[in-house]
Amino acid sequence: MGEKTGRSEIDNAFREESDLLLRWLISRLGNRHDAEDVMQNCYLRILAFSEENHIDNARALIFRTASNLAIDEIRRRKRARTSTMSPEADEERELIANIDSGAPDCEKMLMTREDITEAIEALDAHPPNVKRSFILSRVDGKTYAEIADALGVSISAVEKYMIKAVKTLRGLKVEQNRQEGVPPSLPEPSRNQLRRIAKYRALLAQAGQK
Amino acid sequence: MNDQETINEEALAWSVRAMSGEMTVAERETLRAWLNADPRHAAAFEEHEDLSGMFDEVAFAAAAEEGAKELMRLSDRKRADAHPRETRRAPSWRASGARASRIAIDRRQAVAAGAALFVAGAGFLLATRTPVEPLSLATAIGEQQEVALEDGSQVSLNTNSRLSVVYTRRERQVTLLAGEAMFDVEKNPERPFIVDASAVRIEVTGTRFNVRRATGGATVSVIEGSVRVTPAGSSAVTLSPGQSLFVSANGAAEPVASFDAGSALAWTEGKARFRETPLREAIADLNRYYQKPITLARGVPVEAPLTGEFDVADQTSVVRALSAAFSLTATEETDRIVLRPVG
Repeated sequence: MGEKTGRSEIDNAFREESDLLLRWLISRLGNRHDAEDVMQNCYLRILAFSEENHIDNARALIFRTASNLAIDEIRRRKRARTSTMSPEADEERELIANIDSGAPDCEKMLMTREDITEAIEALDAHPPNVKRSFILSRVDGKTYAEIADALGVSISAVEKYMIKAVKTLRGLKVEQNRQEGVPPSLPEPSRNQLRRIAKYRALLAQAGQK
Repeated sequence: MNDQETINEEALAWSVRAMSGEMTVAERETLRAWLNADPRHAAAFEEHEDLSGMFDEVAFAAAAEEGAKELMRLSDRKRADAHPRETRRAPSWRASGARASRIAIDRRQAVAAGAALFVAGAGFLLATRTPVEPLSLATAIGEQQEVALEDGSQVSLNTNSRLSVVYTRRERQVTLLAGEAMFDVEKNPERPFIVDASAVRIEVTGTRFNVRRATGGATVSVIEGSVRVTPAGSSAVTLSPGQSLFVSANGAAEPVASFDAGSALAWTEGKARFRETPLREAIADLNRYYQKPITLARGVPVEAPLTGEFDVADQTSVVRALSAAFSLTATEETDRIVLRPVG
């Protein structure tokens, strides 16, 4: 096996699913413009990917890519919204939190792919509302009252779900750090990131700031 | 549980409370006091805050995964379901023509489909935006669109329509700014679904109805359930299935009428159906779907009754059918199509 997937195969898969996909994206992103952007990017990415790789399941790849791109957009929005006080804090956070959501080629992350998979599996060990609440809170920015509404449970139930989620992830992180010999504190930035941060700090120091 | 463990538990609880996005002033004060009480409190809390980047990574990755899964589920369901739209309509009203009492959609199937969508999508069909940012939906001329709202309600938009949606804790607010939409509303007595269109307000807790805006006002047609309609200029009235109400732009309501479901809802199938409709009115209805409007020249019997069914997508065949029915010829100009009497 190693044949490249035909362009027409991809076009067909897209054509079949585009209706559903567009509706889902509109619902997820809140407007048609962004949804169409994502669809466009999704198509281009898959085309590019297909030039070098064989695609076993076009439908699955389309959905995965579209979902990743939608999440990228949501993440962009979240960052824009939570941009805080000082531009320095922003920049530093930008440097440290250099994240991609897992498209075919992604940059070095704060956590490895395996770490993230392990974390998601750990969340899946709990009742589904735990992961759902966690996503609604961290990704969608919903308040606990809104999550309670959406899931049909009480606010205190949502708090319990969140506590379970946070506890699970924290426990995992502590365990992962222990295995890597990292002291239990900030997740370790990569060496490149550390270099960039050091350079940035030096620049700031030069400019006479703290 | 030793001291440090207790502190960690408290820090965890505070961290989660802080993540809620709705801490009260009193809670913030209590947190501040707790943080200041002991340097270990602050350290433990800080540690949790530092993890927030990692939480986000996991949350976003999980959300991306769930999104892909949900898309696959929806796609599979669509394939397994040979005629997804038909299952939500009872054969009864289509076969027998519309009578008020007989408009009984097979709600079980609609509910099953809607409920399944909602359960599968809980948390992932939710559009992402802060409560104040409305969801904007719009269709171009000739375009139709169906969208699922975050509570599982469905909106079908007809040609050249615009809609704005804001869901708050207490209500589900929709504004029909232009055009026509059909709503299939998820039942929720705790959160009424309200549609504002021109000078009329429509309120339901969960049911199915159609709203059409024109320059003169808006028409509400009820397919299922009961719908409370409040015209701007008169008292509220409750409509039952098969009933429709026209409210003019200045808020005056006409008497409640019955409507022909076959004609009124044909648009959701991409068709336009007329029964003894004056030609002029039918043309106005059809022109909503086209960039180039059809105009009637002098001598054309504008009040002549038109009965028939048209596939709106194909303007050429519509023009041809109209020409044949009324002995007209069609001339295409740069910005319109003119129908003239033959000879």
